[in-house]
Amino acid sequence: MKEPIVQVENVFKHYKQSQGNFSGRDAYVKAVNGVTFSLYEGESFGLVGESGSGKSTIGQVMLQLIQPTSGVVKYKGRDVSTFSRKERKAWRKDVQIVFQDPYSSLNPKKTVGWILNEPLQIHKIGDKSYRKQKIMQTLEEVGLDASYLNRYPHELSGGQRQRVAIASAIILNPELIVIDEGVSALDVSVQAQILNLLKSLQRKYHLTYLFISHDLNVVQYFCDRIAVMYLGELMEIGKTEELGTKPKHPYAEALFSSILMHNEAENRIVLEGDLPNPSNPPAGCPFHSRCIHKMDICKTTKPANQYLGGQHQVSCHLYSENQSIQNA
Amino acid sequence: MRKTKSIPFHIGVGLVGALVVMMLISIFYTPHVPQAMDSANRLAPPSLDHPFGTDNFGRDILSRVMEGSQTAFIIGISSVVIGLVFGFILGACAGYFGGWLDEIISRLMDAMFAFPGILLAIMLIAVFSTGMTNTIIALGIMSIPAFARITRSSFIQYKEYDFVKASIAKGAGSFRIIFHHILPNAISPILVAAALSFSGAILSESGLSYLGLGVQPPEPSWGRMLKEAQPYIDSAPWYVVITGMAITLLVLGFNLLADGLRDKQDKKV
Repeated sequence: MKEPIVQVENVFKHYKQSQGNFSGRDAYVKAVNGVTFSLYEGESFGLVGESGSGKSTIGQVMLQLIQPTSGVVKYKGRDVSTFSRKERKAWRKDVQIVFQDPYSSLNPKKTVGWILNEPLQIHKIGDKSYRKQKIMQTLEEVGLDASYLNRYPHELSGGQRQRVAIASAIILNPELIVIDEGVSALDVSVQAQILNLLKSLQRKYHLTYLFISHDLNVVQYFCDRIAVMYLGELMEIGKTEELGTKPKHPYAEALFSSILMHNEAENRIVLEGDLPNPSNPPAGCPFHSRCIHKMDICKTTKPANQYLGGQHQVSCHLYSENQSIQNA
Repeated sequence: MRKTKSIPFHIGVGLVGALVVMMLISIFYTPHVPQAMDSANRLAPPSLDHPFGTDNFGRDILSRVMEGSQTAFIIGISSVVIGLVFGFILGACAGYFGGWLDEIISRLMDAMFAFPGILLAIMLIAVFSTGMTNTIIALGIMSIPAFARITRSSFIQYKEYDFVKASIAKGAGSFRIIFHHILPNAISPILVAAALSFSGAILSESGLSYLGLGVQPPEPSWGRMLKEAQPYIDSAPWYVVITGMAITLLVLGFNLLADGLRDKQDKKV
């Protein structure tokens, strides 16, 4: 196996929520609750889950845009929170983010040329003529041309804006890009174009992607590995081929059955109820309140992470060794 | 930026523009010397020689109104600049950095808001004595909280925007975020506040000078002219009316300008 480029170790992020009463106890929204995974060089790692499952928070914690409550993010083996100012700036060059909404991810008061020049200016790369040439080259790489340089974001379509956002992310030659719902706001045909663009850039520059999405079809098409999140915890991690076809965790199973073709619709697992309140998640396994296989132990004990051969991990009592004996 | 057909905005621009022109002309030319007294011609009604009449010392009212506009603009501009600069810095720090710094600055601003502005100005003048400079400083300090609040709320709003986060992810420092990313987007509400604060400063200056606490003689001031005109309101009503009109038109002009700017920015959203 290749070297991990990023290791996320036991990350928690709890947001304080003002209670509005005098009970004296603060409530916390547990957005991310003990998440551990690694990204390997050159892969596309998909993070899927419902809205509010904490997937975007993880992406932003990884880039230190949000400070985790506890836990460690390591970049190439080094804890990113211990970087000095200088090291952090250099590291910022290597990791980039592309946001979901191309309408708010570009500064409305700046031209495309300014937006693309900014990263080069921040890191003092090259002189004026080099920057100009680099901007032109990057624009062409994302399928735009010089006529866009003096345009403002509101003069562009959603797809064009997302291309600009991608250009501003790749202009520093990063190694890792977090794509936070990067294509969710676009039309299906434009989605396909942007996904193909990301794939060709990945091949060309050996990029690693953390691809955060709620769209299972897109994730299955795009990613090498997939992690399924529920209520701030990872339920299952595995290769796309394995997880997409034979999900182990009941939640992953339900999730992937939702995108079955029409003729297989009778096999669809429909979950009852809603996502529990993340400030008061269920005890034990976070999914037990909606699980069709739930057992008594699920209500009291949080399942440990099980390895099912290779890199396939699942957090479910169905796969605990003692449980499988009991079930047999 | 789109052109707007807002009528109040154009009236505001017209009024302010006309008074700016009058102020500029007065620097080089006034029909009479504003301080020249003419005891034979006291409280003369409007005539060809004195279009707005003369005051209780026989001085030409038109010339004095013109020269007084310089004082009004100097005080308005300087106090807005003071309020804007300090208010922006305080508001930007509070909104951008948040936490305990925000708490301290916000509570301080709340405390300043709790005083009626003019009372604060009178207190400052009582401590530092009267005069143009102290009036400017007092009015400037008075307008800090309004600017700080508006700046703070814009900063809180914009710092959560994805383009700000994307820029931080690219390694941008606080200075770049504040001046390149947030300020250009937050500028229009601040400009509205500046226009309102300008008219507020002129009103307050007139009020202070009327009370004898503002600009001191011989510098002409509309507020003090109003005070001087008061005893002659029966015998020479034009003195009061003309001076009052000058104050009203300038304040109205800036208020309409501010309203128009606000409409403009609302339309864009």
